[in-house]
Amino acid sequence: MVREILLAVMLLAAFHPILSKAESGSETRACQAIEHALGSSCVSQNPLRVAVLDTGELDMVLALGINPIASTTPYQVGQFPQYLPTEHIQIQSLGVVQEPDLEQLMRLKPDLILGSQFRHGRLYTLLSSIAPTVFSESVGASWADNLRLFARALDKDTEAENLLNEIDRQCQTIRHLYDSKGQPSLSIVRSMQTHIRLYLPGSFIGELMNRCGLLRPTAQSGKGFARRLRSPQQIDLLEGDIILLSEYSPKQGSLVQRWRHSGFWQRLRGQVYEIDDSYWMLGIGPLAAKQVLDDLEQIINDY
Amino acid sequence: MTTLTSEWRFPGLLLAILLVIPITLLSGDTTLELIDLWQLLIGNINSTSPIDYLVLTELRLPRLLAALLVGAALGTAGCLLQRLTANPLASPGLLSLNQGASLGLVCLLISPLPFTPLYSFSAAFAGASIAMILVFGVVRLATGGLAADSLLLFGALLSALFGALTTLVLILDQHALDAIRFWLAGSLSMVEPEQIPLLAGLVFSGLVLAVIQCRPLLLLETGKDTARGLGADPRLVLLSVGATILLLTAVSVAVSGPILFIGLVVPHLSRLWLGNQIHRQLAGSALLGALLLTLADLLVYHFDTDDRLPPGVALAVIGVPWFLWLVRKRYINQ
Repeated sequence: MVREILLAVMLLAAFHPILSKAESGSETRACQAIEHALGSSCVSQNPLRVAVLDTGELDMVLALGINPIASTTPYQVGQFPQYLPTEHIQIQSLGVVQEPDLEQLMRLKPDLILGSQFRHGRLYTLLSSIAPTVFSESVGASWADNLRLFARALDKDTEAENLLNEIDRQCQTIRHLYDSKGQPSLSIVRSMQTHIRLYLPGSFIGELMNRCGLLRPTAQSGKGFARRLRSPQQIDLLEGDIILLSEYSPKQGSLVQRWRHSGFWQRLRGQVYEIDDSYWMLGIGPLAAKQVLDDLEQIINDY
Repeated sequence: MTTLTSEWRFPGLLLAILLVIPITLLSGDTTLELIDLWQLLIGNINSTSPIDYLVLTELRLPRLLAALLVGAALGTAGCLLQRLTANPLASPGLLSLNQGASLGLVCLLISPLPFTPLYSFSAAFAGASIAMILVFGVVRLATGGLAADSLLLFGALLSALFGALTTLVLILDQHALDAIRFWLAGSLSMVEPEQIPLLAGLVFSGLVLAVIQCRPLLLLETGKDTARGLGADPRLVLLSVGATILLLTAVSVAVSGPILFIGLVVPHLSRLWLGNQIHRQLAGSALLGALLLTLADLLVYHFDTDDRLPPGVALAVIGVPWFLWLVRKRYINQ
C-alpha cells in the first residue's frame, strides 16, 4: 500500500513541473561524483539542503558545521538524541529511522541525502530519484570512515580530519592516564527492557575503546556488535575492573534494575559507573565520541 | 496415566508433582546434583558453588513456586467458572480479567510511576479487578439481573474493548510494548523472589474460598429455585464465587501474564480423568494446573536457558493437539 502511494507520488513528481524543477535546478549546477557503498552519485558542490536518515549521520553533519534540514529519530525515542545541539536548529522530523517519510522528504527538496546501506539499502533507488544520495556501507564501528565519506560529499574533508585528529589527541590524554592506573579492563553494559547487552569491538563504542587502546574483558573481545543476556545466571560476563553501565529506559523497566537487587549483583567486583545512554549508546559520530571521551577521562581519573 | 484406575489417579498426580520438583530444580546448565539439593535441604549451604546456590534460590525456586501456585490458581478458577456458568467454554479470560490486567499494566507504563515488580503486580491486579467489577456492573445495568450467561457475553465484549485500548497504546509506544512483551505471551520470567510470599498467601486464600464454595455451587447446579428452597441465595453464590475467581485469576495474571490454556482446558482434563464430582474436579484442576504449568516451564527452560520462550505459548502449542486427541478418543470410546 505504502509502496503504491509512493510510486504514484513519484510518477506525479516526474511529470509535475514545479516538483521536477528541483532536480533540473541541481543538474545545471556543477556537481562532483562521490563513490559510495551503492555506486556513484553526482553531488552538487557545496550542498545546502542536506537530509540525513539516521542519528549517526545527524551527529556527523552537525559536527562538520552543517545544519541538516531533515532527519529521522531513533525508533523508540521519537526525538533527536538529547546530547545533540538540535534545540536551536529547525530540523524537520522524517519519522522513525525504520520508516522514513519519503513524501515529506520529497516536499523538502533536499540536494543531498546521507544514509547507510545497512539501514536503508532497499530504499536507495527511490531516494536517489528524490536527490543525490550517498550511502555508507554500515553504521557503528565504521563511523570514522563514514565521517570521511560524508565529509567528501559535503566538501568538508579538512574539517573531518580535524575532528578525527582532535579525537586522537583526546585518546592520547586518556591513554596516558589509563596506563598510569594500571590499564583496568572496561566492561560496557547496556540494560534494555528485556535483555542486557555487552558491547563488542564491532560496535561504535567498542571501536572507540579500541581506537584509544583501552582494554576490554575477554568475554567482551569477540567478533560482532553485541552479546545479549537474559538471565542473571550469566552475570560473570559483565565483570571488568571498570563496569560502565547504561540504561536504555530507566523509567519503563530496565532489566539491570532487577539484577541489581538480586544476590547475583554482589558477585561483581569491578567498580560500576553509570553512563549517559544518549551519547554512549544512541550516539554515533564525532560529537558523541567527544562527550564519551570527556566522561571516560573523568571516570578513569576517579578510578 | 490413563491406564490407572480412578482411585490411583489422585496419588499418581501428587507423585508426579513431587517428582517434577527436583527435576525442575536440577535442570539447565548447572553442576547441581540431587545430593547437593539434599545438602541444602539439611542446611549445609557451603556444599554448592556460590553461583549455583544463587541460581537455585533466586531463579529456580521462585520460578518453580510461581509455576505451581499460578497453575493451581488458574486451574481452580477455570473449574469454578465452568461449574458456575454450566458452560464448558467458559474460561477466566472471557470475564475480561486478562485484558483488564494488560490495560492496567499499560496504564502504569504510560503513567509517571516507576515500573517495578510491586507496582506492576498492583497495576495488573487492579486492572483485572476493575475489569471484572465493570463486567458485573454492565450486566446488571443492561439486563437488570445477573445471569451467568450474560456475564460471559458482556465479559467477552468488554475484553474486546480493553484489548483494543491496550493494543492502541502498545502500537503508539514501543517502549511499553518492550516492557511487557514477555508478560503478554504468558511467561514466568518476570517473577521476583519477593513476590512469592504475597502470591502464595493470596492463592492459598483463594483455594480455601474455592473449597468453601463447593456446597453452594452444588446447590446452585440443582436449579435456582431448588437452591433457594435449600437455603442458598443464587445471587450471593454468584457474587462470592465470582470474587474467588477474580482473586485467583487476577493474582496469577499479575505475575505470569495471561496463560489461557490452563483455565480453559485443565477443568476438562480433570473431569475426564477424575470424574464430575465437584470436589474431585476442583482438586484435580488445581493439581493438574500446577503440574502442567511446571512441566511447560521446565520444557521451555530445557530448550532455551536464555529464557526467551514463554511457557504459555509452549502449553498452547503442545496442549491443544493433545487435548483434541483426548477428546476424540473419548468420543470413539462412546
